[in-house]
Amino acid sequence: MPVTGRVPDPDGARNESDRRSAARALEYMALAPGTRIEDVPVDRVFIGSCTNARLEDLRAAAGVVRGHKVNRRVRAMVVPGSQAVKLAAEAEGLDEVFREAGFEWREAGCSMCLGMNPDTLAPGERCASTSNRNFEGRQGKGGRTHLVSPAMAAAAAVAGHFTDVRSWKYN
Amino acid sequence: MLPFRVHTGVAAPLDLPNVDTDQIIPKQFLKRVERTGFGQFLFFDWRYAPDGSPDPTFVLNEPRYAGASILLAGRNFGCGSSREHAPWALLDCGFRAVIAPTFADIFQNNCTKNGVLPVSLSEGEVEELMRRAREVDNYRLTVDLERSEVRDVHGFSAAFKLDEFRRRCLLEGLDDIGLTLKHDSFIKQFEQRRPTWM
Repeated sequence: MPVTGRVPDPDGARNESDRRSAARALEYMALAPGTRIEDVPVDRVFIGSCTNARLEDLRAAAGVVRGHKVNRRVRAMVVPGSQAVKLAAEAEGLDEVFREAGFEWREAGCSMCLGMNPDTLAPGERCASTSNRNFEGRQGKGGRTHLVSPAMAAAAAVAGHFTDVRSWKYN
Repeated sequence: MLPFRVHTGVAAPLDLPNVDTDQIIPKQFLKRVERTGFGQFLFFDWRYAPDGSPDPTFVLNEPRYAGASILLAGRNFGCGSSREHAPWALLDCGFRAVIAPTFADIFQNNCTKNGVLPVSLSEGEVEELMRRAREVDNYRLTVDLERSEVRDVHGFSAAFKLDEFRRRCLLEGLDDIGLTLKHDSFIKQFEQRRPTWM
């Protein structure tokens, strides 16, 4: 489903089992069918995980946020995919780009990809996350995870809602 | 490993497809160093209300399914993160078999190596078993690995297939370490042939 699309209607599912499954997912995610994806606000943005916080990912995200500020209602963090990535990103000054925009620049680790440490969502919070798992409760019980690319996560942090980074105004 | 031959027990219907390992055993409980003790956290976010009390709307909390040892579930059971804790938690909570139309591959392998029998039946057969588990009082099922068959005393009977090697391991209670130890005398002989300084 493209970011320019709308939340699908479970009634359009192929069979009853899929319909129930989709309806349950929408209920958990507190999304109504027909809602424009770009109208969905986010509370948290997580740019991290070993798979999506490599140096090139952080470069892409930093390019989006450079010269912008994180939306007031969003808490955003960057967790480099490894210690080596963190050091390389700092050598390029990417940490400063994120910090100036209002991101937390954190130590490398699993963080909100898994939520085994205190980096979790509160019940009902909605997160644009570059991790690769969006199961119920994965980022905290009742937390709502939307999986996005690093550039899309960065754009959502600035806009305060999902937005199409292809039409982004780069500084 | 606990052998699995013929098991009869209460069957509980968890009528959901795509039950992932994060639901079976949420990640915050993966900090134990032993394989036991995970049962108390099985389906934690579904089983308990935020205040820690059992959620009466969750099927496994219904008194009629207390002590259930056979889980009936929808297709693609055990998908998601690779997590051996999932079968450990099921076993620790008393489940010896899971019956579903399909299983996630890693979960299925983890089951057979930990004494939990994954049984694949058709969608229709699983639906029928769920219906019986809901409608028949004190519904009990027999999962017979010797005859590769699931049956009840109300006329239900269905054959299932399991990889013959895995079937043999479950019947004999052999996990990978148990299999290796079957060659204990060869290992000892080999060790004796090696120079003492190695």
